[in-house]
Amino acid sequence: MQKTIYDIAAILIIIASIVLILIGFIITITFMYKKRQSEFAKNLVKTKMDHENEILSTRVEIQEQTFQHISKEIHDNINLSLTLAKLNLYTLDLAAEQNAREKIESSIALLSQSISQLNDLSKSLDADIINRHSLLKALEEEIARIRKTGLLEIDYECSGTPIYMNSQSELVIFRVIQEAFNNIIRHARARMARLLLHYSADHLEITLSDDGVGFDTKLARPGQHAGLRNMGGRVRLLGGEMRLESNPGRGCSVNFTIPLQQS
Amino acid sequence: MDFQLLIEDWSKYYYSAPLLLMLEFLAAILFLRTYKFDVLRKAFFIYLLSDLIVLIIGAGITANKNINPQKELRFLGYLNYLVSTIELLVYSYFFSLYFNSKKATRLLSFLFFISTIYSILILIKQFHIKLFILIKSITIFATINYTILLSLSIFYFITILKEESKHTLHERPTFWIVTGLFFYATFSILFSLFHIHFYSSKYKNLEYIAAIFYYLPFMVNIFFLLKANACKKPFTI
Repeated sequence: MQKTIYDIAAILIIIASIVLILIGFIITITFMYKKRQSEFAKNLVKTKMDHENEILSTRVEIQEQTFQHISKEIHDNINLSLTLAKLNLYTLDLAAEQNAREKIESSIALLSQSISQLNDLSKSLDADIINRHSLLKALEEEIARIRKTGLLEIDYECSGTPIYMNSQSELVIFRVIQEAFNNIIRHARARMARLLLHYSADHLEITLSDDGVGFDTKLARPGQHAGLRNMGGRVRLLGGEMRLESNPGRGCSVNFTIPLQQS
Repeated sequence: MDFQLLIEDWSKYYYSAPLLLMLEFLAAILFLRTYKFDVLRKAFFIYLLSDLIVLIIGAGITANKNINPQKELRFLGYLNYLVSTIELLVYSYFFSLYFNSKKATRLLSFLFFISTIYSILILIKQFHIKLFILIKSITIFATINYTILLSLSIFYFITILKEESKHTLHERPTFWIVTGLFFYATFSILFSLFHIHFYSSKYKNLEYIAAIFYYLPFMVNIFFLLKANACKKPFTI
């Protein structure tokens, strides 16, 4: 009888051991499968992101080509026509009438202003300044251009040691800041804007704030603020991120953090 | 029919046979009620049904006083081997569809062919062979079948680790089918080895071993099959 009990106990121990081994095997397989699936999911996300980045990159490239084309058009055609108009006005007989002379002088002034504005616009659209100089130089010129229009007062500050990135990345950053300034001028009804650039060892932080009307970020409808989305997309292209803070009547602040190594 | 005799026989195996019978009956009904009765589901249904029929026939033979116990053992041994052959066929079909390889299909067809030839041979010759040798040879052949199925299960697990599937493991019916088979085949091999070793010595705990090493894993396998069926996905995923 006792022998039977021992036998049964031995059988139960064997079974328990086998069951444990088998369950352990299945758990290991499940764990390894999950790990593999998570790697697969990560690869899938990465492939999707690469694809999105490629699309964005192509869009930016096309946009740049368009800007260059517009820049050339303004410089080579409009500018030339306006200069010719100015020359024509200069050649008029001014002895005819005093009133006419005043009008002509006024026209000359206006034409000069147009030429100046067109030149500024041409410079603004031309990406070559980034290739020739740097992001900071291009930004200084852009700020000077905006100040000259009298539409906005700008407080500009750059801290940290500037690290020069490749011209493509700098161009994207420049366009993003330009877009942000355009948004302030067009929509914010602001008097004052503040641009802060801070270079740290591994990233560039850009903050642009204004004292304009602001908006409720939670109430933004789909399709609205396409410019902001576009800016966010471009910053993501550089591996960075964009944060936006705004409230009705309390202005708006947009912050970009861009990793320097990746870009 | 002597039902007292049948109940006595069942009690020797700790009533695992009637439990299995009920479970198989339930499983067959659930398979019939499935949302899409595809070819593989049909194959597994036939497998369950054939085992259910064998269990009922076995119960009928046990309850019949007029049948010689030696003849009963021979016949039941043969029927069980026949079910094992059907089992090999169904799982071979399942694996050949899953692996989708001509080589694997050819190999599995060959193994099934050998197994069928053997079952025909023992059907013809069973009364000319000593009972002891017959039972041993049937057990050895069944062990070979289970070893093949166990190898295929392990190969399946290796394969899924190389796959890039969008389905989680728990969503995949194949995982449940193979896990059930993995448990069942492992225990069946051990049971066969015990059986071969202890059969001649008339070991008194053999029924206990049969209940735990054969009936219980088979019930577990059926539970896993039901879980696979509940995934409501084709049996090839």
